[in-house]
Amino acid sequence: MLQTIRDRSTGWVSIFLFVIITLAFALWGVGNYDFTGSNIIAKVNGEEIPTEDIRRVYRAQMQQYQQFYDEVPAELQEQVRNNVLEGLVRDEVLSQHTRENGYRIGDASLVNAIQDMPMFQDQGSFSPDLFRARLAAQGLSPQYFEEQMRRSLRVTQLQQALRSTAFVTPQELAQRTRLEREQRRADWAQVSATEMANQVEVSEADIEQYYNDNEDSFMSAEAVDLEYVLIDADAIAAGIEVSEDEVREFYEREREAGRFVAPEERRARHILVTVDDDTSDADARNLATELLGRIQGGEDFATLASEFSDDPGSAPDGGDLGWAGRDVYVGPFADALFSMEEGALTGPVRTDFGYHVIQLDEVRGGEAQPFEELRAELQAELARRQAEEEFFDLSETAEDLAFETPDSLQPVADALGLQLQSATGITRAPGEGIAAYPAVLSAAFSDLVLEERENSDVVRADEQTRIVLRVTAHYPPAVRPLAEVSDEIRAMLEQERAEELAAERGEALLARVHAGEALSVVAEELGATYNEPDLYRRTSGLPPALRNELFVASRPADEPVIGSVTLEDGSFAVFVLSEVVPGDTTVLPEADPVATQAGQGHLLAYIAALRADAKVVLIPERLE
Amino acid sequence: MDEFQSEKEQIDELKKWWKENGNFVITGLALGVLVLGGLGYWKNYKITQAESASAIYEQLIQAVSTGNSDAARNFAGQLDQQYHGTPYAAQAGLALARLYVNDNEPAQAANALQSVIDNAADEHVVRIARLRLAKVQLMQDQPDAAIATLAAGDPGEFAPLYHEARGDAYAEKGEPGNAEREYQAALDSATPGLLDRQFVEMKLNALGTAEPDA
Repeated sequence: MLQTIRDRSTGWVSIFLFVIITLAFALWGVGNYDFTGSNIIAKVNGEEIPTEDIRRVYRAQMQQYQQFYDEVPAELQEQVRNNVLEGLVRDEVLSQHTRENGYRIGDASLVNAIQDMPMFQDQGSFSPDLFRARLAAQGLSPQYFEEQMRRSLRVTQLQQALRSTAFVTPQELAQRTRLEREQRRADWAQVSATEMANQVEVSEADIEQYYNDNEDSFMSAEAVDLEYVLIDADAIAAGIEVSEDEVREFYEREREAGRFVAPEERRARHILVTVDDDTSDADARNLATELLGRIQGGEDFATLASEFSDDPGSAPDGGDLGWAGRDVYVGPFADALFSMEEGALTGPVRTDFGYHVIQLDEVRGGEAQPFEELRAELQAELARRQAEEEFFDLSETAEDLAFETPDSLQPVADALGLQLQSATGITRAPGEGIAAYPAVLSAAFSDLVLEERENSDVVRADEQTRIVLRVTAHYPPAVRPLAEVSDEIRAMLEQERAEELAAERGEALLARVHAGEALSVVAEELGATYNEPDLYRRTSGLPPALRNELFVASRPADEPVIGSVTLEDGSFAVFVLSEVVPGDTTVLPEADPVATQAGQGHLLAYIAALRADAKVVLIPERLE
Repeated sequence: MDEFQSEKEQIDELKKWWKENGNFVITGLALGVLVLGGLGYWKNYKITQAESASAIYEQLIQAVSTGNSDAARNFAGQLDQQYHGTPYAAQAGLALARLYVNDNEPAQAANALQSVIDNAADEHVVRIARLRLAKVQLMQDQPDAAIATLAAGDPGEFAPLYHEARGDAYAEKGEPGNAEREYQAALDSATPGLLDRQFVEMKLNALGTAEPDA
C-alpha cells in the first residue's frame, strides 16, 4: 500500500493527498478518535451519548419509587427506563437539529440567562463566587456548564418559537365558543336500579347455585400466622444513659481531633506589584518598599491600592480581599498573613505574582467552642452512637441464634431479653403492624420460612427496625364457606337483577316513546322518575353518563332525537332532545391559551418528526 | 523499494523525488492552508450572523408576547432582510403571521407564511407553515385554497393536524361527509397532546347526521 502511494506520489496526486489529510485533521481534529465505547449508552445519528449523566437521572427517579416499594416491579422499572431513555433521545435529537440548523446563543444572552438563575444569586443579585462554588460542588468546569447552557437555551428557543407563534383565527375562536357554550334542551326519565332492588327476589337456592357455579371467585387469600422478635432502635436509644464523665471525655477526644473549631479566617488588604517582562524584580521590590513606606508615613492604604495595585480583582475595593482561610492563599502570602497581628502592616512579600504589601484588618474563628455549649448535643450524639452499636450487636446475635436453632425463636428472645410476639392472618397484601413492611411479607412467604418452616434471616423492615420471624401456621388458599360469602352473593345478585329489571322497563319505556307517546306520560305509567324539559350545558349537574350521551347525540332536525343510556349506578335513562342552542359569542374568551395549546401540538408533532427521522441505537442495560 | 540500495542511494533518490515534486507539495500545502483559512473565516462569519439574529429574535418573541406589534414587525423585518441564511428568518415569518392574524390582516399573514414555505431550510418548519397557511386561507373564506395548500407536501408526523384542518375546510365548503371522514382520521391517528380531541369531537358532532357527499 505504502509502496503504491510512494510510486504515485508525484504531481497532482500528492497535492490532492496533502489537501485531504490536512483538511481531515483540521475539521475533525485528533481528539474525536476516541474508542471508549463502553461508556456510552446510545448513539443518536452517530453521536455518542455518555452513560454517566443519564444514569444519574435514572437512579434519582428509581430512588423515588424505592420509597414505596421494597423491590420496584420489573414492569415499572422498565417503564421508568424507557421514559428516561426516550426523554434523552428527544433532547439529543432537538439539540442536534438546532445545532445543525444554525441556532446559536450569543455570549450576551448566555450571560443574562446565567445571571438570572436563582441558584447563583445572593440576596437577589448574581454572585460570581456563588457561581464558581456551586459549579465546583458539582464538579463542573465553567466552560462545560456554559456549553450545556447554550445547548439548552438553543433548544428552548426553538420550542418557544413554535409554541408562541401559533395563533387561533377569530372564526375558529367563535366556533369553539359556540360549541363549548352550547346548550341542549331535553326532558328525561330514569328507571332507578335502587328502587328495582326492592322488587327482586333472591332465594337461598339462587345463592347456592351461584356459589357452586363460581367457586373460583370465592377463594380466600393465602395466609400465615407468625411468631417474631422485633429489635427497635428507638427503644434501645431510650434505654441508654450517658454519664457526665463520658461526655466530657468524648468532648476532649473530639476537640483534640480538631472538631468544634471553626477554621481561622482573616480579612486582609494588599497591594500587588507584579514582576513581568516590563517590570524587573528589583523595580517591583523598590516600588513595593516605597509604597510600604508611604503607608507607614500615614497615607491611606486603600487609596494607594486603587492607584498602584496590579491585582484587578481587589484594586477597585482598596485592596480588600475579604474573609478567607489560610488555604485560599499561596504559601508565602499565607505564611506572612497568618503570622501578623491584627491591624499590622507587612511587606514586601515575594510570591509567584510579584511583591505584596499586606495589611491585616480583622481575625475571626480559630477558637474551640466550650464544653458547656455542646454538652446536650454531645450527650445525644454519644447515646445515639451507643444505641447504634447495641442495635447492630443485637441484630448480629439474633442472626447467629436464629441460624443455630432454626426451629425456634425462643433462644433469640431470651438472649436479647425481648418478648416473643405473634401476628395472625397475615396475607401477601400489605396490612397493619409488621404486615405493613413489604420486606416482612416477602420473608414470611419465602421458601425457607414457609416451606422449610425455618427461622427467617434478620429482616431489615426499615431504618430503625429489624425483625426475625418464623411461620407457626399456614392457610393455603381455599374456597370460603357459603355461610361466610352468602351476604356478598345476595347483594351482588340483587344489584345484577335490579339492573336487568331497570333495563327491561327502560327498554319498554324507550319503545313506547319511539312509537310516539309522550315521555312524561309513559314515565308516570311505568313508575320512572320524570324530569321536565330544561336547557343543559356541558357543565350542568346531570349524571355524567347522561350528560355525555346528551351532548354526543346527533342534532335534532325536524323531529326530536330520542336516546338512552345506562347510568353509573345501573339505572336506565331515556331522554328526548328537542333543541340545540349555539353558545353565546358576544364576549369571546381569551385567544392566547387556545393558541398556545395549538402551538404545543405543533411542537409535539415537530419533535415526533425529528424523532422518526433519527437513527438511534440504544443500550438500555447500561443504565443499571 | 529496492532493499539492496545503500543509504546514500536512498537519500539521493529522495532528493531527486523532492526536486521533481517539491513544488507540487508546497503548492498543495499552501492550497490546504488557504482553504482552511477560508473555511475558518466562513464559519466565524456564520456564527456571528447567527448570534446577532438570535439576539434580535429574542427581542422579537418578547415583543410578540407583550403584543407590541410595531416593535415586533420591525424586528421581524430585520431578520427577514439581513439574516436570510439563519433559521431565525423563518421563525420571524411565523411570528409575523401571528401578528397579522391578530390584527385581522389575513392577506399579509398569508404572504409571511408563503415566504416561510418558499425559503425555510427546515422541512418540518415548512410543514408547520403550510398548516398555518391553510388556517389563514379558511379565515379568508378560501376552503379550496386551504385544501390545495394542505395537499402540497407530505405531512409526515403532522398528519393528524392536517386532517383536522382539512375537516374544517370541507365543513366550510358544505361537505359534511368529507369533513366527517377527515375529523375521524384526525382522531384515529393523533398521539396524546397533538390535537384538542374534545374540540374535534364537538366539531364532528356539529356536522349533524352525515350523508355521504356526492
